[in-house]
Amino acid sequence: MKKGLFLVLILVSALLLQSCAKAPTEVAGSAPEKTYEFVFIVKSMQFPFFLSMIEGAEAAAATLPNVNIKCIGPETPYSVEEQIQLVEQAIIDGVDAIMIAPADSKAIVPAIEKANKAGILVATPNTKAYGGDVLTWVGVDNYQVGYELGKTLAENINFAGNVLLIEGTPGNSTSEERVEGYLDAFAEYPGINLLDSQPADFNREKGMKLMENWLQKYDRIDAVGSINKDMTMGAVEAAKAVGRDKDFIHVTFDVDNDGLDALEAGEILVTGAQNEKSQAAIALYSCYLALQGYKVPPMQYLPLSLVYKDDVPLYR
Amino acid sequence: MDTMPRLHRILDIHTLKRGLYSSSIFIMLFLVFGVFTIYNRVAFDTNYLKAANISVIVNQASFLMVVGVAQAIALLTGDVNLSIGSVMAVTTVLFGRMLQQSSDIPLFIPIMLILFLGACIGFLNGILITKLKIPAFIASFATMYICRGFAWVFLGKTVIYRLDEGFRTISMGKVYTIGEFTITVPMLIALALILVVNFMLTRSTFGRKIYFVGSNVVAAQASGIPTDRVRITNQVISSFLAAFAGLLYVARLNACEPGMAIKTHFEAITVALLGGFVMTGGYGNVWGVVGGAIIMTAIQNGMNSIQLPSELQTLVMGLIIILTVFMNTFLLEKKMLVADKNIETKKAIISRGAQI
Amino acid sequence: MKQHKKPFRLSNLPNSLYVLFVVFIAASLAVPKFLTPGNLSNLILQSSILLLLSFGMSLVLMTGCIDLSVGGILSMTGVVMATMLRMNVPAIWAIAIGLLTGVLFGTMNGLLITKLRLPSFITTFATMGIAQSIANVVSEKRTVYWDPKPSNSLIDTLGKDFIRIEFGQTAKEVLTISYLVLITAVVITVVMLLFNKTTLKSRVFAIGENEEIARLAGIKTHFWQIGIYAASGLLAAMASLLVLIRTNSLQPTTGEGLEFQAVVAAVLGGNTLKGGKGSLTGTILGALALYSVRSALSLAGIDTSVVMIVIGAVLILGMWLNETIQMYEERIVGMLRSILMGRNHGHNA
Repeated sequence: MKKGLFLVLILVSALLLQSCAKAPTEVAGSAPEKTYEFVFIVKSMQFPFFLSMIEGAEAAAATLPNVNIKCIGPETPYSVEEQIQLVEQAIIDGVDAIMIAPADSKAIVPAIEKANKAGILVATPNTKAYGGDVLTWVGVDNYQVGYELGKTLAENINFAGNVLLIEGTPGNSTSEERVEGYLDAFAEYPGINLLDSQPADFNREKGMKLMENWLQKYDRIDAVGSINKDMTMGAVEAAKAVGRDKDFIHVTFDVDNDGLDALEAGEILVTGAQNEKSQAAIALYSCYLALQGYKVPPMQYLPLSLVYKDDVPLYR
Repeated sequence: MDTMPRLHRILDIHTLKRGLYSSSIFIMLFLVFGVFTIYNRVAFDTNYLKAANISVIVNQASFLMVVGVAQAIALLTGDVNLSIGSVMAVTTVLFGRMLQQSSDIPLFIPIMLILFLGACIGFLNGILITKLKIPAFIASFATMYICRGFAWVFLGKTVIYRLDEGFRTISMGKVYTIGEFTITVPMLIALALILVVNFMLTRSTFGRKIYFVGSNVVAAQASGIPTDRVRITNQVISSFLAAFAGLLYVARLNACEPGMAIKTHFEAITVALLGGFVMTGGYGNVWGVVGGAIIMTAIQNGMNSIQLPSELQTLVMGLIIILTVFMNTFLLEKKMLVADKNIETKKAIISRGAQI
Repeated sequence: MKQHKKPFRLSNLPNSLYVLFVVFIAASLAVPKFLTPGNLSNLILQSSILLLLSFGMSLVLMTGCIDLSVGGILSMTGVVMATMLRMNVPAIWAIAIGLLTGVLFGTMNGLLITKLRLPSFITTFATMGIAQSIANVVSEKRTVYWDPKPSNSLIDTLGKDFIRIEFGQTAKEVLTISYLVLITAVVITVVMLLFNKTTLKSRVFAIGENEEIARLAGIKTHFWQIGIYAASGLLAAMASLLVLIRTNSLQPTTGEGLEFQAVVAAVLGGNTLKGGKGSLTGTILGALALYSVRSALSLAGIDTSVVMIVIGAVLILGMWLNETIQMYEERIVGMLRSILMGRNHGHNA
């Protein structure tokens, strides 16, 4: 019981300390110049894509002298439960706007509703939320991404051939939506023969292993589609190792330094770019405008850009 | 103290069933290969068992063998090492730039630095476990978090890629081709490593000390073995091998990234446990790791070849793991009951070994 | 069975207490908004999922085994419940079936480990994959959600606040206790009463200490071990109910990585992987300590990678602190005693 008592003591002392500390905070609140506190919650801070998004948000915030931004993300990548926790923390923090790239469009809704209740603006760059009162969504739909890439892949092999598809982690909504788009695009062309579609968990090493196994099984492959660049880079290495890298094309998604070099070297034929820096920046500016009393459109569609070898300089 | 006779018995049993665990895993391997071969033949009319495919499986398994051995060594003293994957990431990320094609620094410098850093992290783990008396599970979990965090802080979103082609031969090199079967450099590296570690564990005094410490650390201490030093050295070897595995992995992937080998601690433990090592320590033959690594890779390769839907893959993997472990335990028990009449003691020892 | 009372000793306190204490002080000093009623309510709400999981984990650890499948069970039972709700099954039945699934899966774990004598680490690693597969198959790899209907209004109600005390206008000054915290509190109390006030504790410790001797002493070791695994499954299912209420839907990948966090909270609370001892109070404090670190760092807007480094450091510091206090306990107690004695002498004179 003594242990329990200790805990109670800690909590009570905590509350007491708080009541003492209250007075100065109120004084600080009545500063003449209003500064805005923004928070940006990504799906994971351990994926290059989201780090690039954060760069965009920070760059945009730097142009506005009275906007401060904090960028945070869940410890377990793509954990929507932890994202909800971060939203709750942001509400406590008393921020003016929350920008969030939801790890799951549906599961994030209760958290957005909480923020709405507290009177905080919510913007969702990159991924939509299916509910709650969201100021604006900026980006390109994941299903659309898959669909466009699937069509591009088909075009580049003249609408006929043997195709393989590399998926992300099973059950991950980003992966499933993109895969659905790919499959719908393939279904439109009877000449496309989808040999197999298997997961490689967004992981370079797993992508390489998967490709090695496929190369053993299939003698004729015309194209390999993927929903993320890392897995494609693994697949490229696997194909190079057995000297079959010239036999088929790679279509993938996201732009990074190694991906751009692979494009230039012709190892990847085309990649999709969703201009993540702009997504974050537009979301931030939209929040700022709304705070100034301007109206902002609820959907801001940034088209998917297809990046071929010649477009590489634009993305350096 | 009557711990000494009991301890001798344990050591004795260990020698008795050396290779037994390995044989059970090889029976399982036979089953797995059999099922996939038949399925492929019937459903797709393709040959799963063709030499080229076997060569791919063994090549992939060689990498798992290295991390498996790193984990197995840590498990022998009862100290699990969860930081293997993170050590692989942080060491290669810190010095990866020197491995790039564009770098002028002689290759042996980054390689030495990577291995040395790995050993240092192992030393830190060892100190935490022995001197600060932190349980190995939590100590290595903490270093796992710290190493992974540092890797991300250091490199951020950039990827180090286009590594030196000479360096990459340690993972991509081919030595000799017999028919369709290609003997690759990683296979030879893994084989050499297994031979060396096996020699160290079974023929050297240090190896015997490791088993002794793992079986009963109190008795080992009482009989004058510097248990702390043995455990620290063990951790150093384990993390050194992890850094070595990191070199192999980056050479294979042609890239160093902070997110690499994110689930490798699980894979390493699975491989080692399938190979007959136990979490309580003092137990296991390093050849078992070969079987464990090949079986894991063969399942993945087989699942890809039969186009198993992604949602069922963890199910099949789980079932096969359970079956393998069951075979391990079952065969061990059978053999022990035949080997000794003192059944009760044996049962007690089995249940002790099987606890975790 | 009457347990004789142990004298109060510093080393009898769970080590997570020191960690929690240090973390709490440091966080309150460094992050101004940490020590507010609103944030503390958040802290308790957020840690409740991990608390339930690590409670089950602690019980399993005490028997000398481990249960890595809790994350998988969480995903699986959650998907089962969510699918039921989607099929318009009344909420109460959906919950009951979900909890039952958890118990059954836990029992299966227990049977594999006791009857087939399989080592628990690798076995539950394998069953984690099996549970994850079931979750993916049932949910067809998509997030499962349902339309609000009278039959599932219970889920909505449980998501609401039970107590709300406003100290001020802003969110940080509002103390809230939701039904989720209430559920967790009730479950935890029941488990602690069952564990501490019955013979369960001594049985579990005996099994953890040496299964063979416990069996010879007349304890039905297999029965209790299976029971503990079933309890772990049940607690995981309850944790998944909490996630389901909080997210108002369920992702099939929800449980990923939670098993390790549960082990860490339990081990930080003084439970060991060798079994035979441990404390549930320690587990509570361990989970709270972990969440205090996270809460403070996310309030301060710190990069996840740095958060990982800090958590690693806190773990090491906490375990080291406990060890040191145990080591120097005699000296500290002696010093305190001499001070007290000195004062007593003064009074006498």
